[in-house]
Amino acid sequence: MSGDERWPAEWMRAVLLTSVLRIVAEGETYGYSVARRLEEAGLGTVKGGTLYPLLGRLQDDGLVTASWREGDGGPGRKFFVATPAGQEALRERTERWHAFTARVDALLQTTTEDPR
Amino acid sequence: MTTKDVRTYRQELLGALRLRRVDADRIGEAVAEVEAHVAETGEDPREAFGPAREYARRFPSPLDDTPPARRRLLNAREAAIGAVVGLLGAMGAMGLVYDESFLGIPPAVCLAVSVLLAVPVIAGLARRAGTARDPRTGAPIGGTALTTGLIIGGGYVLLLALVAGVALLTR
Repeated sequence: MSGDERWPAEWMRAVLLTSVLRIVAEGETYGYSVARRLEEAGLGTVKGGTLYPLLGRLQDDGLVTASWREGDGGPGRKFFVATPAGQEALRERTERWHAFTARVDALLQTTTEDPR
Repeated sequence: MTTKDVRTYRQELLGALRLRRVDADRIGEAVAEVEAHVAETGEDPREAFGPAREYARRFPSPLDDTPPARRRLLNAREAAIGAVVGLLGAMGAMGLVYDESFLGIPPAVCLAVSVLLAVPVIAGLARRAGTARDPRTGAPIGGTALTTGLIIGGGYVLLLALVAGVALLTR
């Protein structure tokens, strides 16, 4: 799957917050790195203007914490790390997501096999 | 992307966030995030974050919870207080020059009431604007609450001086 794949915007809106939480939960990371991970995962290019407000929302909800630090000789970076509440929320959302997609899959299967 | 593009975008974003009365700490974070992101990616900030006014709308604002009718009422009240403060101050300044009272109120009293009203109003506006700080350095971004207060206060003093000046010239 190519990195510049474009998915319908409403699909992205539904999955992005949990996907971002998943990436942060893997280990401390920063904005640009999250964007790269999303692209590598085949979710396409997510712009800064979309990504940072989502990270801010996760922070407001207490699911991640953030701190500014200097990079290796590079510019200062804002590092994000998942809180225990964030890990817990991720577990719960992942479970619900699997249940949800399984149902959608099952529905799509039946409708493609037996149209109308 | 040039540093000038980044500086321009930063100013636009700062202005748009202030206009939305976004929390000062949040403003500092948002501006630093944009700067750090484009420094790392080399992207044009407008390309990566969209037009500043639109991007600013992604941040929670106390205005979002205020219905438009109430917002208009609050704006009208602020405008009315400003008008009363300005009018009393102007009448006081003019009255002192002409040595005349306004609606039977001595000019010194007009001026004193105007100043007494102006001080808490200006302090309130300055406090509301707050001081946005760069979270990386702690340095203020744009003006501090103090400079905001000084600018508004300066405008008020200038208004009184202008009125007094015109009165002196036309006496």
